[in-house]
Amino acid sequence: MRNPFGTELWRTIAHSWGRFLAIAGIVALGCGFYAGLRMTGADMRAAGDAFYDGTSLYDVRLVSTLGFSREQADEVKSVDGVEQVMGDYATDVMATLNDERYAIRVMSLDVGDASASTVDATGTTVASDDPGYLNRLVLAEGSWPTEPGQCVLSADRVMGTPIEVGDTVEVLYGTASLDGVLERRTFTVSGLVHSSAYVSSVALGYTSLGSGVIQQYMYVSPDSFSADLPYTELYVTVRGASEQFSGADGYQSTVDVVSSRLDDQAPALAASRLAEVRRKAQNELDSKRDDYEEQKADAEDQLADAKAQLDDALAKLESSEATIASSEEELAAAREEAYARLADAKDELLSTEEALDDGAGQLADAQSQLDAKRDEAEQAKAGLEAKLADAQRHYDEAKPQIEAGIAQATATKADLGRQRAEAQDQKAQLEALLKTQTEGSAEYQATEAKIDAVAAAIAKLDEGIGAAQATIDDLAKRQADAEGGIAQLEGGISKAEAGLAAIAQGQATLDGKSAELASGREQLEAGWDTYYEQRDEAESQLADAADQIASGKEELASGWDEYDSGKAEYDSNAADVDARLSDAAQQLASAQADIDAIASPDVYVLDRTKSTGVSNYHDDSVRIDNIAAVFPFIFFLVAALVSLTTMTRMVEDERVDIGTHKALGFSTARITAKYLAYAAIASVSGAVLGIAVLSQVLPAVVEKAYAIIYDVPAQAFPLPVDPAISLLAAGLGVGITLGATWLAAAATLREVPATLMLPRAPKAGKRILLERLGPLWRRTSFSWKVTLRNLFRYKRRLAMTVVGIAGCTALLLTGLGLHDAIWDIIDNQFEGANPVFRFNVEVGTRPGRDGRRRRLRRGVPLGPWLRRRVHLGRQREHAGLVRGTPRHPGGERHGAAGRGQLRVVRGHARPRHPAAHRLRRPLRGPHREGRDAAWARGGGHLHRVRPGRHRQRQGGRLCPHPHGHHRELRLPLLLRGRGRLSGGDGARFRAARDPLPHRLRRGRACPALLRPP
Amino acid sequence: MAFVEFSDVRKTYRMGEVEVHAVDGMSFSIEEGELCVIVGPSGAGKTTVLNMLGGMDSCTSGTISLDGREVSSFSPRELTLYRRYDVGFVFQFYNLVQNLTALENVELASQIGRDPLDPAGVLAEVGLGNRLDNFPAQLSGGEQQRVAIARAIAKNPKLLLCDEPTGALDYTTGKQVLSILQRTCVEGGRTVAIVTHNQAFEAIANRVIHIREGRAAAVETNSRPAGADTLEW
Repeated sequence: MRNPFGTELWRTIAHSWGRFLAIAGIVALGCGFYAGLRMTGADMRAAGDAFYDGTSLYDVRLVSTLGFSREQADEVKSVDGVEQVMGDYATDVMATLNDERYAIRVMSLDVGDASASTVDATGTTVASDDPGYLNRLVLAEGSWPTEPGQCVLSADRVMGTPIEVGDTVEVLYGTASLDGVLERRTFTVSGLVHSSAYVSSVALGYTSLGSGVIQQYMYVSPDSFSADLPYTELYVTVRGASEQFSGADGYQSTVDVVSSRLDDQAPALAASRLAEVRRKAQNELDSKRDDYEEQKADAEDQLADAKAQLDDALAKLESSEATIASSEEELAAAREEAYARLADAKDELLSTEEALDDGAGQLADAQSQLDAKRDEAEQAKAGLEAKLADAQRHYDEAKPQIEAGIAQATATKADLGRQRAEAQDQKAQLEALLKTQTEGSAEYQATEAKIDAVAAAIAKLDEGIGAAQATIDDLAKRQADAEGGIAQLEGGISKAEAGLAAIAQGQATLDGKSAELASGREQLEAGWDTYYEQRDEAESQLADAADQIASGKEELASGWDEYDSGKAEYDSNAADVDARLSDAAQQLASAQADIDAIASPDVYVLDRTKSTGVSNYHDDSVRIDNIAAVFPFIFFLVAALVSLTTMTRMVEDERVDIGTHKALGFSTARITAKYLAYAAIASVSGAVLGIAVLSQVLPAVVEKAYAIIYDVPAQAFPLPVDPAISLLAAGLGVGITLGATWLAAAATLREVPATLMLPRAPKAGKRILLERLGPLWRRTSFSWKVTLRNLFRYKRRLAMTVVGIAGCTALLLTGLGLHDAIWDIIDNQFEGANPVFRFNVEVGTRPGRDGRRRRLRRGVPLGPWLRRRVHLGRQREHAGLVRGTPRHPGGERHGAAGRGQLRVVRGHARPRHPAAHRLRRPLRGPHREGRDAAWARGGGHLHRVRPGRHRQRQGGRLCPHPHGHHRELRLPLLLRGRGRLSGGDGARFRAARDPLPHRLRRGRACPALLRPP
Repeated sequence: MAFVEFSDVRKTYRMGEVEVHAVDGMSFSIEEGELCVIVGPSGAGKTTVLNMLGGMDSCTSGTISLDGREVSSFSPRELTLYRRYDVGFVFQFYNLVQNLTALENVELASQIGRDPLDPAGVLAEVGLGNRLDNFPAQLSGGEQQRVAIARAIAKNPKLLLCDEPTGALDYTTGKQVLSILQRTCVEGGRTVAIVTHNQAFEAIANRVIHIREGRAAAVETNSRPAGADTLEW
């Protein structure tokens, strides 16, 4: 017999597709999401694991502060459980690439192995003949570095300017001196690779250079590193680890076993490395010390020799000196003697000469005296005679005169005498008159006066008498004198003659004396001659001797000089040697100290959990797991609610049928089974479909999203479906649906057939709470009353509606809120009342041909150069953001500056009124933005950057960038299409931009902007 | 002991404060193989009596027994079995499963019956041999009712209960249905109880039970009932 029950079931399904699909759909979603998300984490890990296994990624990485030697690499390889060991050289450097600076990790690559390796189609597995080639690279572009000086960089790392094959990397400096590490400083990019050791393209690791983050990695051939560099790190693979899933517990425990063994080994490694390093160093030091000793001995010998020589020389010199000294002494003595004798002789001669000279002198004196006397005498005589003649003459002349005079005077005198006597008489008369007069009367006085006058006349007469007498006397005397004179003169002349005779006598004596003197002089002359002879002889002898001594001295002096110079040389050499030896000794000592101080290196045993890329990827996959643990339950909840309502509706619809079936005698179980079967079929098919689809789609979508920052190659389809998770998901989905169905059916099926076949009694109406608030209820309209009653009548419906809407609203709000929140960051950064970035365009310069940068001028009108709307330069715009910080003049601190390109960044105070720009008039306020405001202010002059004011205007929030001393110009917000950047607006905004004039975009220098050089 | 025994059966519906006594001390009996017609005005409790007899409802008090078994004290499980094996029900509004064809509808019943009849045969018996694969929506009212009857009969029950089988049918079709029912009773030897408000049906009944206000007002027997096709109303 056919199964009508089954038939009925199928027909029910067939006649209610909507319901069936609704349940199937919601279950598909729920199960699919759950399974998909749960599997995503696992798939990501699987993809990662496939990649790691395919590229033989290391399991353990050993790093030592002193590096590793090849012996130690072998030691490590011999540890139980270690499969392969690969050592490589690595260093972190700061390098320039395409005019931008990056912190780059440089590592060595076995180019032979790399070139010989082959990659499969998906880029997951790299096959190589050398099992010791670990961390195999996948070549993405270009070729392997074949020549020294070539390198390969990461293909995934996003750089300011994309890297091309052929670009140059210039290494600037490293964490320590690069001289003993890298041989070359310039590399050419020959290709781009993917590396499983650096799966994260945003987090490559940390360093002490630059900003602290490694920005790029670079593989070069080992010969670019110094020849005797030890391995910087050892990569180790663990036997049996590749069979496990990377990151899983099994893997971890396998690796932990070996890690712990390596950990145990680490002190031994450290010690052996330390010993090695010390030994090497010590050997070097010892050889150097031997050298030192040798050279020291050598030097000392030489010095000793020299010293001996010097001493010899000194002795000789000293003896010579002594000899010379003694000779000198002798010479001196002889000289003294000679001189003494000569001096004596000379003295004698001199004294004789003196005497002679005295004599001569006396003689001369006498002679001269005599002569003088004679002259004198003769003169005197002559004079006298002259005088006599003269006197005689005068006398003769004067005599008559005198006599006359005398006579005259005598006459005068007599005359005067007579006058006097007259006067005298007068006077006596007057006096007698006076006596008769009274004193004091006029007569008296007149008399007195007459007396006086007479007295005066008397006096005068007396005088005259006197004078006459005098004249007489005088004349008489003259005459006498003259006579006397003549007599004298005569006497004198005779004396003079006598004198002359004496003189002649004297002269005769003197002549006799001078003859004596002359002979004496002749003798003296002879004596002088002898003296001179002797003296000359003595002198010459002495001179000879002195010459000899002098030459001896010269020799000695030169000898001394030599000696001195020799000694000085010796001294300086000795000092030098001392210094150097002591220096060397010190160096040796300090080197020894250094060697002694070499600390035991720290050996770090790091597994994949310490690799930034691997652990980040793993963590992200775990994050997905965490999401999967919770998020899909929303869908399950929804699935449960949907099934509940759907099946409830279905059961309600088939109420009579159920009654009929019950009436026919079907058991409740059987009837319920129909609905359960219905639900089961719907949910199972939904689950299967959902899981089948979403277990492929979700992981793919998520992995694709993560592929932006991770370099793990995607797995090929079909992705593995985890049966356990699928069953769990399906079980949950189906179980929930069946549960809901059962709940829906159970209530109905509890009723007796009779009531079932009757239409369900409508739910009893009830008063709602609100009705008890009388006044309020009376005021509500009828429709409202009905609505309110209905609300509370169907509570399940009410609950579902509220919950449903609430959930939807929450989800929507989350999405929109996230959007707003993130966009707000952008706005606050670049716009708003107090944006952090306050300019649109940053203009910088790059060094010209002369290698110097020119500085920008301020206040230059940019009218013709910029349009109102701003255009992006070469930088990629990211939802309104431009990469790079607009800060430093040199542009060294951030990626793309320093190229002289115009970079546009958002930022400046926004218009007070968001729509102000549309008003086409300048705004009030310190920031006069708006379309034409900038131009209105003066033909587009640049807003002068005034440091203080900016800070004030910002009202407290300080712009982190100092203004004022820039070479860049910060321009005001020249405008924009909308006041506020948000997602949609941003899109419109981008579309609305006009391009910058061609010249500017090319970044050619605007001459007006530049100051004269 | 009569085949069907109702003794002082009461059925009270309580809805909030209101109590409705649908059946109020009903007592009657029906003999085996009888065609019993239960007549009464609307609201008299006829359908309630049938439901209780058919195990589709419970009584508040009193006993109902069928063939010695006390139906009123059955557990739900026993009631299900009772309905399955011992009772065939024909409803006023057919209550066919719309998703199944006529044949499948009958098979639905025969599938669970103990010793069921052949569905196609039963359908042929009721005159729908050529309408086996039609869905109820494709059948007329009478045909649907005949399918319902066939369904009820296919189970080969002891008791066939019909609740106003001709209520939705016209005169001719009604007579057809009645004749089938009569034939079942007479030829099949089943006990048939028909509830109706149409007093003309009394003619074909062996026993007529008048029900009024929840009680059996009168019981009449008729040893020589008329044929259904002779009915006029």
